Amino acid sequence: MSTKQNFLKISSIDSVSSDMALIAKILSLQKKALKNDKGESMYYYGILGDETGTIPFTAWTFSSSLRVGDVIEIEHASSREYNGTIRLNIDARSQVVMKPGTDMEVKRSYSEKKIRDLSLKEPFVTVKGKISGVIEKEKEKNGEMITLYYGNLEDDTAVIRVTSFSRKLEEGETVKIVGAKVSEYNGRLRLTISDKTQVEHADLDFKIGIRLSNISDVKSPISGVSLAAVIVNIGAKSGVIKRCKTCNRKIDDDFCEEHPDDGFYKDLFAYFTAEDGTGYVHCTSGKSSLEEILGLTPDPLETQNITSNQVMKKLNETLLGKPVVISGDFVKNNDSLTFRARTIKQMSEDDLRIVQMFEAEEII
Amino acid sequence: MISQKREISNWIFALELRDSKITEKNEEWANAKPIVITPLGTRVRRVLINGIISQKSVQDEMAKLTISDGTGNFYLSAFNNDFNRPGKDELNEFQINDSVLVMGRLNSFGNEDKIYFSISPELIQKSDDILQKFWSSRARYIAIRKIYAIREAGKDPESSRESLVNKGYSLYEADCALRSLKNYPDYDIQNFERVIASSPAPEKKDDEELRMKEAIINYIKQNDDNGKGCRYEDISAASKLLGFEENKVDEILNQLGSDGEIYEASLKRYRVI
Repeated sequence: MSTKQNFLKISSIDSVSSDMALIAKILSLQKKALKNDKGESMYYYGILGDETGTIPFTAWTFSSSLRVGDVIEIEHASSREYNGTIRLNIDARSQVVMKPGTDMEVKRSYSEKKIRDLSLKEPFVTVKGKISGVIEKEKEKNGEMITLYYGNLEDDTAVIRVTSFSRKLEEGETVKIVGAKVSEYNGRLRLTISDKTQVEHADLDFKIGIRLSNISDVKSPISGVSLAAVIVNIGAKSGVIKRCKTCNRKIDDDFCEEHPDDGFYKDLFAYFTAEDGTGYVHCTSGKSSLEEILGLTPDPLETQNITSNQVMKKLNETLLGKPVVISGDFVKNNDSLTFRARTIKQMSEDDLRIVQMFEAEEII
Repeated sequence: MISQKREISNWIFALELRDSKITEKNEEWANAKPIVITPLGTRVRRVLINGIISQKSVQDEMAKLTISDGTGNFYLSAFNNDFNRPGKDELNEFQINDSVLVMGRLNSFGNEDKIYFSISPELIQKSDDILQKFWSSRARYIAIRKIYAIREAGKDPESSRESLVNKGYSLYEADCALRSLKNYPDYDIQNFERVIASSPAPEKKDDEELRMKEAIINYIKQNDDNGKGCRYEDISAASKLLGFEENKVDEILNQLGSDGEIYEASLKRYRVI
């Protein structure tokens, strides 16, 4: 690498250009396999930063030994606009060298996002919404007791779990969170508020109501979304299942392998595929979301005298090939998104009007 | 729990399918049926449609249904031995004027001038008014988004996936737009938009018209002169015997032709498709 190179600062990269050199810190790094006619290849993407700002990048050649936090020198990189954002492109012509032992102050810049558009690709963001479901928990950290706040943040597109290490979350408060960290836990996205995150009161410029979404518009495991769709397939093993009374795990025989003496209870489970014309999603649902549609009560199934075959027959009659509105949460499962339905209802005239208004707004 | 990838169903109007003239070899699987490329750039192997049954024919081995969605017709066929999917007997349970939702695989056949399509149903269910409106509204929404993307792409010969995504279209819509411009540069998109803009809804046929259509189709089928087609004069004479008005016979023949039920094999000779 040349030492006489003119290194650009990230804040000066504001258009499509080529043959650039810069020194930057890797702030996030992910890799993805790509299949095409020539076979399978791997590319990397993430965020780079320096003392002037941050920029997302895509690297078609990148050393697998590089890690988040490493400072690197890049030559012969190019930039291009994608999805309204300038990205740095590192390809076969580019040279990337790690600068061991070097650290760099990074000026973070955060773009404001709707919750539905959050993803691990952009790990620090600004979001606005309403706080709900707050609980406090005491935890020990480095010998000291600290209070952690857990809650949900919701906007007009979705809901996301929030953990705050530093600031108290107030129930019902409307806030703007600047520099929240996006991460994934148990297959769902969550936001973390640390001492570097700013949280301020904000008036919301949107209304929170039914959060209808096209299936194809959801790319991340976010919660609190409604889908208007047709159910095109119902899983053959849907019906009455048995769960261990102690660990709640589904069991195939009359006893749990880990708790053989603890007994079981009956539960409902269904899996099905929903399509809305823009995409499909495999869905799961439990007793609470199926009760109403199957005409059951919240009482234990043991008292309701219903068999798996009867459940399956009712599911086929009430759901298969029918338009429905399902509300729930997207969950990441083996690299694909599935949907946990919290409520399922057959589409009404009122629902149809909402769907048509949503479509009209999207077209405009 | 299902986790495998499945093929998406395309919610498209019959008009989009009827105007399709291009197929593409399925590269993923050598023996697979070809993929149909529609004028809006949609790559179709599976469809999800809704409409009213306007024709029904049941033979020894198979059943055929014609389904109208208000913009044109879809043709369904199922055999006795269709494994794990609705077969002849299931199709036979449906009646003319039933409103149905169908998901199925698309088969295409024909030559360079004209491609014909039939659907092998995987799911067929009676549908109600809400489903009919929901399907029609979604199919229109999806088509209009594609039309806007096609128009946007057509403004600049350098248009690319990235430039269209930057303008707010999804990758899927961008790909459809570029495919449409490449394969159907002269397609009358304005006419397509005009047809779907009026929220097309299929109309139920009156009994007399259905009776006439069925009688004329059966007559043409039974009197096909060694593959040369059934003569107009014979159809007209037979219709008179059945009590149909002569001018109504011409109207029905025209309708059957535009519905894709029959075609004129040579001058004034008709065959069933």
